[in-house]
Amino acid sequence: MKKIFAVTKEELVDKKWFLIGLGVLIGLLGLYLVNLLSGLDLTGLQAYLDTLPESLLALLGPLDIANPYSLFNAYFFSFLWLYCGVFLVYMASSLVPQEVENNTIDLVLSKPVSREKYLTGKIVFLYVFAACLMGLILAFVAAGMASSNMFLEEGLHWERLGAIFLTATLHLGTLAMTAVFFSTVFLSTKKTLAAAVVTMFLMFFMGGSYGTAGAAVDNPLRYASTWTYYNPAQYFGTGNFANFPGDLAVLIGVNVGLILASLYVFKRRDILV
Amino acid sequence: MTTTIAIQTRNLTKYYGKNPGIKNLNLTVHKGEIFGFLGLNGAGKTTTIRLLLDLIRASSGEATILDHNVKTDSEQIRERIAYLPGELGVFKDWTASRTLSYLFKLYDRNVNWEKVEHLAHTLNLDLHKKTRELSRGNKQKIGIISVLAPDVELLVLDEPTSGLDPLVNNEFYKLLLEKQKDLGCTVFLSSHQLEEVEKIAHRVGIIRQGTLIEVATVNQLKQLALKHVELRFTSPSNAKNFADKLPKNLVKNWTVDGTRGRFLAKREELARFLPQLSEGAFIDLNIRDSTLEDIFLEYYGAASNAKQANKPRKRILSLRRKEEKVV
Repeated sequence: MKKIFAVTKEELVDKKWFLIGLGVLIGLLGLYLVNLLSGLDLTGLQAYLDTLPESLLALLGPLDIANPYSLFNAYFFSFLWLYCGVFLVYMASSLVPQEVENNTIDLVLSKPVSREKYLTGKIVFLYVFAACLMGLILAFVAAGMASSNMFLEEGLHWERLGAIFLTATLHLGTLAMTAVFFSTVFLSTKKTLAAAVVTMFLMFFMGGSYGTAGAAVDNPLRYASTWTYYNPAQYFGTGNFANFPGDLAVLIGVNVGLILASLYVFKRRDILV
Repeated sequence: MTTTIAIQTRNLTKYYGKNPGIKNLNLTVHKGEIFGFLGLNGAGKTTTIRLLLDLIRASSGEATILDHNVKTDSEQIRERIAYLPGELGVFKDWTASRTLSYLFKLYDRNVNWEKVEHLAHTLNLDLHKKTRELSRGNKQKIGIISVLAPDVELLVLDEPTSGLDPLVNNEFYKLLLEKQKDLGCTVFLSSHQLEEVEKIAHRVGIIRQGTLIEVATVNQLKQLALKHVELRFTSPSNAKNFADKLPKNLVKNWTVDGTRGRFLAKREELARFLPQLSEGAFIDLNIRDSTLEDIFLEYYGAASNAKQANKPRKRILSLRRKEEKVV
């Protein structure tokens, strides 16, 4: 464990300002959105939406704009993968390949640390990074909620933020672990980044519309996408936790599967420089 | 059961696609010896080392270090060895101190930091400077400290002095010899510079195109190597006259370029040229040792001619027999 944490610690020290900067920036965006929505009179818009045909409303998905949780989710949590995911994928794509490209991997792997421990150290760092990032962002959102009359009238549901923290961290984890897996295959930053970004968008288009458009665009392929199991509209928007345990289990399973696959590939391959 | 063997490879082979990196390498390095591993760039030195360190995997054959299989017991092995890569990569935004501290945390035992500071002082390295601000030689010093500070049983050094200035180069070999003497550790030194290896190695192995073609003591290799003699004459006619008097059976590759003449001769036969030299009207004389490349030419210059190519090996075998008789 000492060796794993040594690898994790150095990565955290290296990226601490990036983590703080990104977390504060996105957190402030969340805070701004909470305040922006709190100042809007949405009853007129809701009255207009009520006049729309049901088939059109189905396309928009379960959006209840009179509910601040639902509205805030549509603007913020549904796009969290884009705000944070892209940066995380970029970082995960370069963690190992950059060490190969800079020849530092020889220096590290010639010391008494196994490849598994080395890669596990990097993976632990990515989860710590994702969790800290989400923690920072949600702290700003929580502060915004606590100071917003709109949310105070609706009631403060911290358990919804807790559910977002868990599922968003795990969902970001799947994006990062996909990049880590590709990085063990290619050991090249450019190839890994290309493969991970293409996979991310493919997954989004396969399953990303589920959360907002519901059954209107139901497609069996969506079950293969991790976006199907990331449902902030349900947990945060409506407080519906019926799918939460199942979603959590699937996301954990995908993360574990990708970690095991990465360790397997990395253990067996040549480290060429 | 422990043996006196530090490194052993049996038919170790590595293919990169269809291209062989090394082929059927059988190598034995004894505990406590300094073994020079010689070869030109691309000969297979680094491939061998990377296989020993389990950074790449063998296509066939096996290798053991300190009685442990390099593939299955890699982490245990690396607890007892230190490696300096040929192309040292450093963490650019880190200080030398942070780099070394991180690397030493990966050992189960503690590495004495006072020793690190002492080595940095001796090698004149500022541990608190970021590595991006360091010259190539100073970066190399980080690698040198990373192998000299931990108390290990085997040092694997791949071109350890590349980028070092002559003063630090000498200091490095002094420190290495001190460490080897104090701990009795084994040193596996890969280099393509014969002078470097000649200084410290007990035995050397020569690798060419992935095949180990010779293992000999440095003395044997030195006797094998030809001396390069270069003379500058007062006039081209004097050069020609000198050439006519040279015993043709003792010199090789006589060439003349205006007033300059060059030839190769065996070390032990240099004395036989003294009469000719005293008669020659030369104004400058330079005799230098063979470089590794010269020895390779001796070995493989006539690679197409099998008999010629085997000559050096026959001479080494004959030298060994002579030495065994003396013993």
